[in-house]
Amino acid sequence: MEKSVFRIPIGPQHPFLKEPVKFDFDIRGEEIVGARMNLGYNHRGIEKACEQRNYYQCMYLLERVCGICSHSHTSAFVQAVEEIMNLEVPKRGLYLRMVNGELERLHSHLLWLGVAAHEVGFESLFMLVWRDRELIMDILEKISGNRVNYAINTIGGVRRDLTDAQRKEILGILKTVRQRLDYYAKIGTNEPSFVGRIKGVGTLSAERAAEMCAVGPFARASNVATDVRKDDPYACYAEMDFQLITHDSCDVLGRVIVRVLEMIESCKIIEQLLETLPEGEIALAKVSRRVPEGVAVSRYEAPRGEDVHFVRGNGTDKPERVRVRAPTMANLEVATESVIGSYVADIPIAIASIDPCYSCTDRMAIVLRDPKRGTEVTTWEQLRRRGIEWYSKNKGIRF
Amino acid sequence: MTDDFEARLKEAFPGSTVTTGSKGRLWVSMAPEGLIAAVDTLRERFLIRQLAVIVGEDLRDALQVNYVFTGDRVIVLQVRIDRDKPEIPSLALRIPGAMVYERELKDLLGIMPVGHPDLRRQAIPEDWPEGVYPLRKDVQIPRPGEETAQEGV
Repeated sequence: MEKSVFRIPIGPQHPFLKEPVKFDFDIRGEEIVGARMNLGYNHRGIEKACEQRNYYQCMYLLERVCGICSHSHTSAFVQAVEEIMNLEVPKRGLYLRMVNGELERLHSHLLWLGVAAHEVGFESLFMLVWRDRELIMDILEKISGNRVNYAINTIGGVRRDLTDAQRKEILGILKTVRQRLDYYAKIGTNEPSFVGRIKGVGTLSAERAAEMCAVGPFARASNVATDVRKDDPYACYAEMDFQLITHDSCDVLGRVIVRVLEMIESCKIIEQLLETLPEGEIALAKVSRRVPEGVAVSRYEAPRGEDVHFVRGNGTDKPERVRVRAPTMANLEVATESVIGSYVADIPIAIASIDPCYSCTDRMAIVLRDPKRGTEVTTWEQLRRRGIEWYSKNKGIRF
Repeated sequence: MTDDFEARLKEAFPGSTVTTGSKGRLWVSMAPEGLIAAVDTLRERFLIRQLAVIVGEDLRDALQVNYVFTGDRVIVLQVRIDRDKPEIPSLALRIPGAMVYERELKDLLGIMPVGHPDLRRQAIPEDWPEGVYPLRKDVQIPRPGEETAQEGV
């Protein structure tokens, strides 16, 4: 490293990061000339844990991979399992699954827009957006009973039906949401202080995005037309009329525009789904708990990009292997790289522009003994006992 | 078009078996030596350039690495490798996007990507014992207050 270059380590715990990841930025003056990232501070072992649980338990476990795109993970998983079992899901079930999926995309993008506004110091936009996100969250709570982990999917369909009154109510709320989205689309592209702050920040060329296998709105903002809903349609997306949004500015501004326009498309999809909701069953009445031998790759367009699940069944009620590839995994390396050439103050918004989700990306850590020092890890019980002993000995406090 | 694609694929990979799965996914099993050449053919001749994920598996009698490529079609290259010599040629220099998946492969299954430029630990902590690969089927990880991790789940 040359003398004028200085390395700043950021993370794994840092105020600008919401979750653990470690970055090393090499800076010369204010300019960033090098960047590296490291993961693995919160790996939770979900893939291993899945091998020891049955498919239904796995579904609920995988829902907890992420707190934002929880529906995406279960959908990708049940799709893979249904593919191995060769099940035909009732159409109403698929439609309801898609309604939930698109509502999730709306709330996730609104959350991101709020975070992005907050990262550049545009607090009023942040508050407005998060207020509107509550409208979507209320719908989700009404139709699934939950705000975060909806638990609406099941193998062979969905678990909760939609009443006609709910259907009409959602359509009404969506009208309001669409008006607000038009307003955000206007602000996102016209408000000079906002545009000035994010234009030309965190640039990523289309070639590099393709080479690094980037996915989702992040890749689409670099003019890479990739969307699983169009490329490899699952559920009933082939029947829906919507546009694939791309933008050619290749910077954070493009990512804002892509996400806002995508939300409008999502609203259109939900309206189409609810207006043409087929009658009938919502799930298959009887599904075997044992899954035959077989393997499936399932792709799902989560709010942050393509979510890939690889499932291998072995004829029992437990999967042989489950692999989860969350979109952040594909995007993080290249997002780190996209910061090079920007200024230090641009780091938070440039990294946040992929909508990172480390809980999706990292999944395990059990440390029992430090191999270098040989020290045992203290359990909660030991720590509690030690505390009680210390206080009774030194302070005379009796518990 | 579909059958034509399959025929072209079979012709391009003579030493491997091509099977069609559900949803038109194509599964190609091959030897590790042919991997790099196969990836080049796939990307240049078939224009399937996006590597979606690399999945390592423990098949008990062997290890298997699945490379999921997406494009117009989804193609999975399956490479079976020996448990005693768990090595595969690294794709990281050809496809930089493969970097993170190969690091995870090394950490969780002990499959060494030969020629990978950056083999720092990724998925497991720095003080994790050497040679314990959590996703292998024979690994036993005891928890505090529990005899074995495999029971009582």
